Amino acid sequence: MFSVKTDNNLLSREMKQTPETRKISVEASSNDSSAPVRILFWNVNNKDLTREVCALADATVADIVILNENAIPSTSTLRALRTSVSADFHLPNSLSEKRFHCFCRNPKLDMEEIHLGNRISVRNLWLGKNKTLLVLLHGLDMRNHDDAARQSFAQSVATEIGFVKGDKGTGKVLVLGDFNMNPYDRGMNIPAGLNAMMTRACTVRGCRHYTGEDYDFYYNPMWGLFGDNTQGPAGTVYDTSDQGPYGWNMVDQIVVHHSLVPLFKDVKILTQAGETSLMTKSGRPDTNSVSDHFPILASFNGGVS
Amino acid sequence: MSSFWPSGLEISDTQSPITILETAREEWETKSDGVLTLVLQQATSQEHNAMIVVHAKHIPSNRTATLFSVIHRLKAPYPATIQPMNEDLPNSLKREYYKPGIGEIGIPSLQGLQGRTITNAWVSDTPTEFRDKLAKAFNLSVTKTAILSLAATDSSNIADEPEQQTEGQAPEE
Repeated sequence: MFSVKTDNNLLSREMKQTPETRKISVEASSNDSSAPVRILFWNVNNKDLTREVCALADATVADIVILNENAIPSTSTLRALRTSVSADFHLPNSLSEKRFHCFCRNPKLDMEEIHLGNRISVRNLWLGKNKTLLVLLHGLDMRNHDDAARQSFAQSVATEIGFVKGDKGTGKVLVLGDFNMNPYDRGMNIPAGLNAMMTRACTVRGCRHYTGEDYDFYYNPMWGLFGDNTQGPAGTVYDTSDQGPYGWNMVDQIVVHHSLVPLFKDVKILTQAGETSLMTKSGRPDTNSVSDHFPILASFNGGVS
Repeated sequence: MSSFWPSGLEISDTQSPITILETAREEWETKSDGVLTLVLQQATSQEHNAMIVVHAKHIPSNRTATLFSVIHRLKAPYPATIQPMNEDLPNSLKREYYKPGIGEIGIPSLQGLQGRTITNAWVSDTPTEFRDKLAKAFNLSVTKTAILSLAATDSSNIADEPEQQTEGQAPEE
């Protein structure tokens, strides 16, 4: 029998620790306007992982839960979240539910879909008083699309984001999702692509001038989670086929527009959903029982206005 | 008697894709009573061709959806090709789809040994042809559903449904 706690006022909560998991400390509930805004993203690999999703949402006190490749109806997941975690969860208005199932605990964050594009969904998100565009992205898969195709796709996404920024009147953008690219792939770095840099300091200048045009910098914090010298796993997907020659891949990412870097708190790769481990004994995603992707949790200061 | 005039060519009709799309935008605004319009975003493709990305906009809500893009060379409006959005639907929801026979399922290692001609059905050489294909692009299932989604007001919540369980109870396994 599965059960999770439903106490929204719990002030401090720790996830179960294993040697390869990092301690997740949660300072306050999602109703506290000074608390960070927490966004949970997970590619659930077309499986019914409702139990694990609820456990994650509960343990992390996530304000927003975004599922990619969720095979079950969003209303079923919503019902489970409302029953097991918080009755405040709702489905923000959306134009389509093909790729992303999005659940929000606080209506002040908004999260309404304001643009539907080619493998992207743009949501209106309020981080404090900052009107922000949260771009949810599902990149072209590595098995069926080569590097050139994925780079071309990254450029088309950047073009589309440019349109949305102009049309909605804000340049404050977060891009979150299963990019199917690593932070070092060309589409992530070229100016006409996502132009995402390795450190906060790299983005201080604001933009890169290239062939007569200015391209806004983004900060990619996923760089800081690679390899053995960090807590937790070395990536979000483990693959040693010809699509993944490095072993670990960091395809689940968040990139932050330079204007929002001061609000960015941190991002973590999660390996535990309540009592359920999401990884195998060797520390890799448990593809058979759970998903081939680890979830990520991004936190932003600024709270709810 | 043979005709040496290129078929389908009218020299009085030299409208570029962007001009034709602007006409389409006016028609959209008229037929939707000003509720829907097209936004034409001009950009450059990765291959340094001219690209027009066509977005639909629901004016009352300011919501938008990308429909397709049109690509042509920088200083030559034709040939122009329309790139529709991928129809990301399961086969059961598609009006029509192609199912290869057993004999057509290729062995990956043997693919590429023989050359084959790929036909791009979305390329237009003339304004007349472009208008025809543009009308088809607007009538694609993926385009129409995007437009309808824009215009619909959705509140797909279960807030009004009676709860099966009270908060704190575990869901059935």
